[in-house]
Amino acid sequence: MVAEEPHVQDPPKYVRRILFGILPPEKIRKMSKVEVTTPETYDEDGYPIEGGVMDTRMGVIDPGLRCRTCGQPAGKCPGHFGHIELARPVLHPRFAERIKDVLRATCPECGRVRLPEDDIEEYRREVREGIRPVKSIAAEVVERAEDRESCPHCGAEAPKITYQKPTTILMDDERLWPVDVRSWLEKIPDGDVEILGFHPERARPEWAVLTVLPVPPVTMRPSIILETGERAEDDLTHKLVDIVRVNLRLKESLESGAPEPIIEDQWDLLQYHVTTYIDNEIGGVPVARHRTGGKPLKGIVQRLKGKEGRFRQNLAGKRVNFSARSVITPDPELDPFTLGVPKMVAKELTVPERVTEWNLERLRKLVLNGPDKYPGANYVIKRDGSRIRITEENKEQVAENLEPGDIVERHLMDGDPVMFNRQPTLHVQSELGFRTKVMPGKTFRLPAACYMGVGFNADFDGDEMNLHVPQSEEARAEVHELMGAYVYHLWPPKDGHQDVRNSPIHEAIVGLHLLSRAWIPLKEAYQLLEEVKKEGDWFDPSEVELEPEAEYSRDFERKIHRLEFVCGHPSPGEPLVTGRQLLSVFLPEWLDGVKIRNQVCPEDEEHGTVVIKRGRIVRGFLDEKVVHGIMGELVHRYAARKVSKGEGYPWFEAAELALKVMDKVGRLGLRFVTRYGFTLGMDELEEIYRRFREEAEKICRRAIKRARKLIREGERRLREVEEEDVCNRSRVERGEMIERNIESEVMATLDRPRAEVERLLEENRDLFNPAYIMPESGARGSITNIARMALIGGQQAIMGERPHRAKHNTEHIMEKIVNYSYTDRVTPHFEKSLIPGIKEGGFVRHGFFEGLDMVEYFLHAMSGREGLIDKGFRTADSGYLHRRYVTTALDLIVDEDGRVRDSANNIIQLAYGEDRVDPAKKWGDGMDVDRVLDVVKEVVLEEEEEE
Amino acid sequence: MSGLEDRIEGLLREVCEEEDVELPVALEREIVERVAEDEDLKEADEETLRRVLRALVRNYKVRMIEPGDAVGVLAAQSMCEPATQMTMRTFHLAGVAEIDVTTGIPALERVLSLPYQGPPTWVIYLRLKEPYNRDEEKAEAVARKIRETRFEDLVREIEVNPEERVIEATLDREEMERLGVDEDELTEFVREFTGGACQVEGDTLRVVLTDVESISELAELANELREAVVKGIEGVLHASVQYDEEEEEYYILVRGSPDGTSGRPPKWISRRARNSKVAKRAYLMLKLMQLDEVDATRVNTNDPKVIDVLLGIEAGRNAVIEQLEDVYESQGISVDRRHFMLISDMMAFWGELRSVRSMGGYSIMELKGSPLTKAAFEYVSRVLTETATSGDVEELRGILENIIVGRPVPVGTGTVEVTVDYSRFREAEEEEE
Repeated sequence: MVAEEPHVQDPPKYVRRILFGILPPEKIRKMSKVEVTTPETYDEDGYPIEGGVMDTRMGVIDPGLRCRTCGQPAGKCPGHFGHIELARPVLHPRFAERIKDVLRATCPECGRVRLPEDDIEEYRREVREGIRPVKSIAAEVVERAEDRESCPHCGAEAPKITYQKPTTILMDDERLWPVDVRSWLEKIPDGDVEILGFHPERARPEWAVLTVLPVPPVTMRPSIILETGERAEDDLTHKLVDIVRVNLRLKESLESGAPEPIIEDQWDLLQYHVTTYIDNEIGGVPVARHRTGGKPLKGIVQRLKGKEGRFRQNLAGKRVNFSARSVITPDPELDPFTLGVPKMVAKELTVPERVTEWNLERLRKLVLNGPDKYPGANYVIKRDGSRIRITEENKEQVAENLEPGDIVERHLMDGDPVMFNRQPTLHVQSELGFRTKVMPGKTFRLPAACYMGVGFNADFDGDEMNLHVPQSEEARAEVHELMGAYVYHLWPPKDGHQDVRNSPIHEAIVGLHLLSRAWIPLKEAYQLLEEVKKEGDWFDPSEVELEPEAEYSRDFERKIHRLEFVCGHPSPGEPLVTGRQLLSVFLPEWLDGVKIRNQVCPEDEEHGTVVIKRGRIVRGFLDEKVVHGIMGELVHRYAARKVSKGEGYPWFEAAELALKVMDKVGRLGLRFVTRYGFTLGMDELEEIYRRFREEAEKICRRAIKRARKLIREGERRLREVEEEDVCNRSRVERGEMIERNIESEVMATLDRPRAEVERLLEENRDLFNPAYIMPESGARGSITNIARMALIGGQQAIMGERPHRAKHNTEHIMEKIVNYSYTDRVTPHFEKSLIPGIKEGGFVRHGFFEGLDMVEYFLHAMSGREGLIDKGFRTADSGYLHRRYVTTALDLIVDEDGRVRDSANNIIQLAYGEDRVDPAKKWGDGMDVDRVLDVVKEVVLEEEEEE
Repeated sequence: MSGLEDRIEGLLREVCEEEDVELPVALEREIVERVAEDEDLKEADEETLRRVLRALVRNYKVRMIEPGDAVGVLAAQSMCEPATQMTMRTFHLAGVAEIDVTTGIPALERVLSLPYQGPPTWVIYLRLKEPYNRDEEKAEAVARKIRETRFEDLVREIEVNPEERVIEATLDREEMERLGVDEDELTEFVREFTGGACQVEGDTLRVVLTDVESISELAELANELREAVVKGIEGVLHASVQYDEEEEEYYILVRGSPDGTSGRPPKWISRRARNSKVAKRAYLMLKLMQLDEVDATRVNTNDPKVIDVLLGIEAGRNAVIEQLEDVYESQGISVDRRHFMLISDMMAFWGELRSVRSMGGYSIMELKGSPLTKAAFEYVSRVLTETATSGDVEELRGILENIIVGRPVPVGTGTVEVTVDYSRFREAEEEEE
């Protein structure tokens, strides 16, 4: 059979470029299908009146009616423009200011720009060359021309043009009506129009004076029927009715020869309605409001503007189909980059699959299942484009008629690529490609063993996330290959592998840390491996052979490393393996010569550095840093090996491998910590409290003593300055400086105890106390948290300073006012002083274990509150920064030669980042020659041996 | 360079040509050195070396950025996402009044819109030549020399006696000593400044101005005198000696006036500055750099725009990178340097630093050609009116424009197209038959 060219639908009209300009009146008339002449909208039967603003020649919105221009029913008819012939011209409010500039720069007699011919020629050349923005040329022209008193072309004197916002222009203090403005502007020759910032073909200045007003199609201002059966018209329709009505009245007045003032009033009214129709938020113009309710009407500008405006809401961002949103929950049984999707979602979201000879039977079965039975199908699209909804009634028949070339929209199935996203979508890692795993329940399930939520910044306290199903083969491939198991999401572009994202976290890290310190009875070790195994896994514990490294004996605990321990209750003689052995089970053999210093006990000679030889962890205790390090080594060594062998693009496989290993390692950590238990409670804090209380007290006392001295000294010096009766700059400055310095010294002094207590805790680490294990292994929290809980709250700060009330500042010193209001003490419970006391200044001496006293509690809450406020502002600030930033840098793209260009094809960088290295793929700073060379040598030598 | 290195370099060049890759110079150097000093490869023959080098080159190749990557967005995201975690903290430099170093989002904001508005506190780091940087005393002397000292700093009170055409000031001996101004110096200065006779009796300094005609003129002169700079460089609000532990030297931290210094900046400054304040700031920095005691090659400031004006766009670009690095480093957030480079290069592209702001003379957005992008960004109606009057054309080359009109976006896989050559299918079919 000859492969047939698939039927490609005619692409819709392709937008090549968009020309901007001002519509000339002839064009408005030409594109108009109807002249709107009457303010009436509907007749008694509710049928649109001919010649009204709802004329059916401008399109229809009511079902049942047909458009009189294109003959199509509502929904199909795109709508058509109409027009209003204005009885007298009016200014377009958005252009009025520019028109004023033009009038000031040109001669009312001959219409030329009031500059010598040579200058005009020069500017014209500049405009055509396009080096300088036209805007700045025009500004310069206007600036120079308006200063001239007479026209160099005809000698006419320059009138004085004044402009009153928004639409009034005066010439020599007399009103210059739009008619006159228009005829003046018409006189300006094309060549002069150019240098005034207008465009001779697309935007002649006189077109900004409206003689004909286009009436937008009914379809873009549909009326809605309220529950009461009444019609509610769109704001634009209301405004258009006003315009037509006033226009009609003005026309009648003109025809009947009404007195000038009346005509002028009506003309102004027309101007007002046109102005507010276009922009209803112009300063100085009364806002047009709804007749009922008084809400401001939405003008055309208001439709476009702002976050909810057309541009940002509908054009730069679009709505999509085939998406779902639900709560997320964790699932340690899921493979990394697999997403648990609820069945009810899978039945709703479909994947279009084209029927071929080879999948016909499979798809037929799906069609036979129908829309309700999973896995089924919801629609079939025949080759002629007709769409058939599969129902319980017709499913047999549809299945029967299924033939190659049809498209079946089948339910989402296991393995389908999907996109998963959490807002705010701040970076690439906020939207990742996952593989579907359909599950019962109603939540999305994220893999938890090798946690995939870090880049999303997701937790499971009720977070919701969004799912998107790609609908074409290309999109599916891109989701799978580019958004999926890819280094970008393991090592984000922010800082490459130095910023590992998706790896075991929290309790899994604790588990791994403890496991690497543990001796485990052989039997229990196998049990653990068995627990790690998943259904249909690549990993089979029965193939693993663990060599026992020791046998348990009564004094075994004394023989092992001081930080190691024995798990469970082995009987003497029972074979034991190390946790490191157990972990090594999952490491590939080629992982060799890796040395990573940990952060738990880097000083320990034996176990401070993790050493991996031939895929075995020879020694060393794991912690977060090591786990991340191993992941980095796995990916980069694998990639380097593959590349050295000449096997092409390595990153998908490398990332997949790292995830495969880390999933198992993470599960092992989880299983271990579940089996042997881990908790951090009051007892652990009490232990620390009892051990260090005295020392901490001493530290506090010392600091308080020093601070007291500083404060006393500061008071004295400040009083001294205050008592001098002369004021000059340097004296004031000196006073401020003393206060500042004392304050910052006091702050520093009182801030020290907490740091000292922390150091004390650091120096006397007890890695058998969970309160230490948790922060030190990098699982969660920090020593600061422990210190705060067990021993000392430390100095509280508000905006980087000790809490204080209004200070006697410069003015106080200068005017010697110290007592004019509630100043100089934090609360009325303290004595007044120039420098707040220690407690008053927010020094919290107790830890949470002991409990805070009243003053401490209050001031601690103050700085806690600052944190909350700060956070609120930060999100808003950084959100705006982010938007601005992304929009400006949006179009910087690497071209095929590794240069960075913007959308105007300007070269921004000749080589990206100077060395063209992708930050996501960097090893070390770019390419770590030492480490790569190690791998390369190994591979090359291996190959040579083979030969 | 040894013979071995030469040989390796030659081989490396050949390999690069085969692989169609151009190595960055630093990397090339590193590879040559590392391979040359490698023990295991001492004995290696040419074929082995070639293999090793080829593998190394290929390893670089797979780490290269790929065509079509939207590096601008990556840079923006990499810099802004961590900004949500930044804390707002103010650091005080010990002993220096009013020099706050802001960090966090405000600092980031500041750097990005810097060309538009200078830093809130403008600081110059004056590095000194030997021996001034070794000795605190000597450094202090330099600081005293440049710190601006105004007349009012040296006196307690100034009184104007209009009848006698006399200005009287009570000297503040303490301050004079502290600021290192002696009586003669002061009288000489006043004499020159006012053009009148000047005498000191006890603690009172009398200036007799017989030439002055009106009282208002006298009062004005008194005011001018009050603010007159007796000593130092105008605009140096503060100068304090600091110790740099890394460099083990003393340097002077200068807080400059945001209005810069007086006098007419050289033409080349004003031409590049566009904004007169920036020119005046640059002029102040120039004055400081020209001091004999100052090591001009190491002087730095926290205003990249000044650096741009004074030392050129390349230096300005580096200053922006440096500032960005500082912001993130102070927050303990690690961000790849390449992102900073890209943003700085974007800001520097037009030959003078431009800011990442929405509008205004110095903003990058203003220069971007695309009306739709501008409209979707901010100030919709303003953009649209301006675009309409000038009859601009939207060429739809960028990202946002194409999203707006619903076309595929020219980035990543959108930059290339894949088609199937159906004629080849038919050929294959025919062959089979």
